Amino acid sequence: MNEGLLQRFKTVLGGLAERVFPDAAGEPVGVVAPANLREAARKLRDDPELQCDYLSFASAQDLTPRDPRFDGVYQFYSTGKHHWMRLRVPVAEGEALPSLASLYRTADWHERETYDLFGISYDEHPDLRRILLTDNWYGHPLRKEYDARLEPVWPLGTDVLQNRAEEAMAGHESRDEGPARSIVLNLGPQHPATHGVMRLAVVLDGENIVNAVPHIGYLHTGIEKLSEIHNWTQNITHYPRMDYLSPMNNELAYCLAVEKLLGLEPPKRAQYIRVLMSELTRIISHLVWLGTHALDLGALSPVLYCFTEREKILDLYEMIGGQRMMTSYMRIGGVKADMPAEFPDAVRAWAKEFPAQLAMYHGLLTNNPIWRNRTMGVGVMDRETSLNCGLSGPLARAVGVDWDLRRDNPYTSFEEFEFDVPVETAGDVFARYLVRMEEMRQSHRIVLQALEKIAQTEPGDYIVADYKKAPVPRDGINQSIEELIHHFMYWTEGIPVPAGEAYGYIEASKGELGFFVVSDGGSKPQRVKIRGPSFVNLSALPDMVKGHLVSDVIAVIGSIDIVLGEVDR
Amino acid sequence: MIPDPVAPASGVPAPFSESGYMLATLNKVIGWFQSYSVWPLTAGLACCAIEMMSASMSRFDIARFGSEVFRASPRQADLLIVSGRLSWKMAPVVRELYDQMPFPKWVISMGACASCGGVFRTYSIVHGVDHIFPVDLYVAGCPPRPEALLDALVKLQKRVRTGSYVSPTVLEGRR
Repeated sequence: MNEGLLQRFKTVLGGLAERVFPDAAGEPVGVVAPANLREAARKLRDDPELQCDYLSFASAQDLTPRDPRFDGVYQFYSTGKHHWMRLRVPVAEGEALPSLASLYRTADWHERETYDLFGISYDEHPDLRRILLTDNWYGHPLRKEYDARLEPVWPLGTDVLQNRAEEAMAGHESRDEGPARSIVLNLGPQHPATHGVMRLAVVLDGENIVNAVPHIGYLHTGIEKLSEIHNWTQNITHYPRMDYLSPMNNELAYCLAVEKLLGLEPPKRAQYIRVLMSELTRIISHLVWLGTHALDLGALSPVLYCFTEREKILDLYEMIGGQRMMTSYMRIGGVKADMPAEFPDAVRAWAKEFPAQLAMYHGLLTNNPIWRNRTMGVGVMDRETSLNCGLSGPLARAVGVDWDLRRDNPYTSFEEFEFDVPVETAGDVFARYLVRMEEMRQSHRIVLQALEKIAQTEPGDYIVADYKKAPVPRDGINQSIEELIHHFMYWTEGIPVPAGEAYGYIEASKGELGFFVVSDGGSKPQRVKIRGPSFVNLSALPDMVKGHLVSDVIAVIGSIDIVLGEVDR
Repeated sequence: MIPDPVAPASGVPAPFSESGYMLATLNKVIGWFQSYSVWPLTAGLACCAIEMMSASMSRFDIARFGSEVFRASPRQADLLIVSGRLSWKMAPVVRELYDQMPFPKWVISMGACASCGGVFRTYSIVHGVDHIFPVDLYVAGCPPRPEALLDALVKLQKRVRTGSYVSPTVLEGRR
C-alpha cells in the first residue's frame, strides 16, 4: 500500500472529501458530494504530485436499499506518475451529477452509458441520450430491481431504426444545390468494414467529412448485469466472449481484480503461464487486426497469411485450454490446469517460424507505396487530445504517450520480463500500424522468456492450494471428507469474496482493460464494471475523421482496432 | 422412371453418360445447380463471425463447397449465417437484411447464442433468432468450430438438392 499517495490524496481533496479510505489493493478512494465533484476532479488533475491527466472510466453502482441510492464512481490515472485513484459520489434517485465532460472529454460516452444503464442524469452534459439501448427502451437495466433474464417483446413500430441522432441532424438535411453537395451517409450497422455491428452517420460536404456520429449498442449483451446473477467463478465464462479476438486477456483482467479482493497471489508457475498466454493472445488479436485492416484498404493477401498464422496459435490454445477460442483457462488463483508436457516444444516450434512471418508482413505492407499513401497523415491526433479522450494502448503510444501497464504497473510478474515499449509520435494510422507490428515482435520475445521461466518452476503448481478459493484437484476428492466438502462448496455456493472494491487492469491488445469489482461479502459480485478500451477508443473516432475523405474513415476504423463485443458489452 | 440427377457416386447420371440426355424434374436440376453455389452474406455479429471468417480462410477453405463468395449486399446473397448473439437493437436490421435477400434463401443459425440465447439469455438479447425469421439449420457450439459450420453447409446443400424451387407464378398465386 502506498501510504504517501493516500496522504497526498487526502491533503489535496481537503474538505471536499467526506471520507478517504484505501481499497482492497491500497488505491485511494475518496467520497465526495455531487456539488464538489468537479472541483475535486480538477484538483486531482492539476496537483503537481497527483497529475491525474487520464479518466479511466466514469460509472455508477446501485446500492439499494441505501439512501442515497446510487454511487457515481470515477477512476483516475496518471500517465506520468502511474498511480490510480477513485472518487465515489453518493447521489439519490432523481438527483443529477455534474458532468465531467468539460474536464475530460472521455466522460461524454461514459456518462451517457451510466445514464442509459442506471438512469442517472448529468448536468451540463453536451449530448445526454441513450447509448447502448434503443431510444425507446424501457427501464434501466443495471438497477437492482431490473430482471436480467427479462425477455422483452418485439419493439414493434416503424421507428425502431430511427434514432434521435438523425433528428438532431435535421439541420444537415441532404441537398443537391449550392457549391458543395451536402449529404448524410449511413455506414453500417451491416457493413463489412466496420468490424462488427457499428453504425456511423457521416455528414459529408462533397466527399469531405464534416461530422461523424458513431452509434453503438447493436451488440449490447448485458454482460455487466449477467455478472451480478452469477457467482465469481461462473463469471469467467462471459468475459472471453466480450473481446472475442483476445479471449484470455479478458479472463486475466477479471481474475486479477478478484484476486485483489481475496488477497491471493497465484504461484509463480501460474503467473508465467498467464504471461505466456496473454502475449500469445496479444499476437492473435494483432494478427486479426492486421489482416482485416489491410483487407479494408484493398490488400487482399495479408489476411490469408494472418489467419493461417493465427490458426497455429489457436492450436496452442486448444492444446492448453481445450477450445479454439473461448477457453476460460484463467481461473481465480491461477489457471485451469497445468500445461501439457509437449506444450513448451509446440510453442517453441511456432516461435521459431514467427519472426520470418512477421518479416513477410512487413515486406507486404511497410514500404508498399499504396499502403503508405492510404495511412500516412490520416486520422492524426495530438497528444493532449488523445489523453483527454482517454485513449490507451497502441493508439496512445502512437501519439507519443510512453505508457504501458505491463511496464509501469506490472501485474502477474511482468516486472521480471525484458521487453521494449514501442512509441511513435506521428499519431496517424501508419504510426499505429508500426506500434502494433513492433508489439508483436516484443510479445514474441516475452513468450520465449516465459517458456524459460516456466521451465524453472515446479510442474503441477498452477493454482493456489487454498481450497476455499480454488477447486480441489480431482484425485483429492476421494481422499478426505474435508476436500469433498470444499469441492461441494466451491461448485455449488462459489467463493465468498470479502467485502470491498478493487480495480484489476491489464494492458490488453487494444489498451487499458479494467474490471472494477465490488463485493458485499457474498458469492456473487455486487457490481462488475468493465472498462473496455475499444469503447473509449471508438469515442474519439469523430475527431480523427473530420476533414478527411470517406475512404479514410475505413482506414481509421481499422486502425482503432475495435471489437464491438467489447464496445457494447 | 425419372433418374435422380445427383444420386450416382460418379457425379454423372448413368442415362446421361450413355445416351447424351437425362430426365429429371426441373425442381431437382435447379436444386442441384443451387446447392454448389450457395453465396453467404457477409454479416458478422459476434464471436462466431470470427470462426465464420476462419472457415473462409485457407485452412478450412469454404471454397471447397462452392460458398467462398461472401457478398456484402443481401441482394446478391442466398444464405444468411447468423453468427453470434443478436440484440433487440440489431434485430430489425437483420430482419431487413433477410427481407432484402432474393428468394430462395436459407438461414443457418450459428452457435448457441443465435440458436437460443446461449449463455447470454439476457434482457437485451433475442433468445433465438427464430423469433425473427425462419431458420433452416442450427449449429451447436460456443462458438462452433469451422468444421461444424462446414458440416452445416453440407447438410444445407443436401436439403437444397431435394429441390426448393418454386416458380414465380406459383409464388404469386400463393400471395
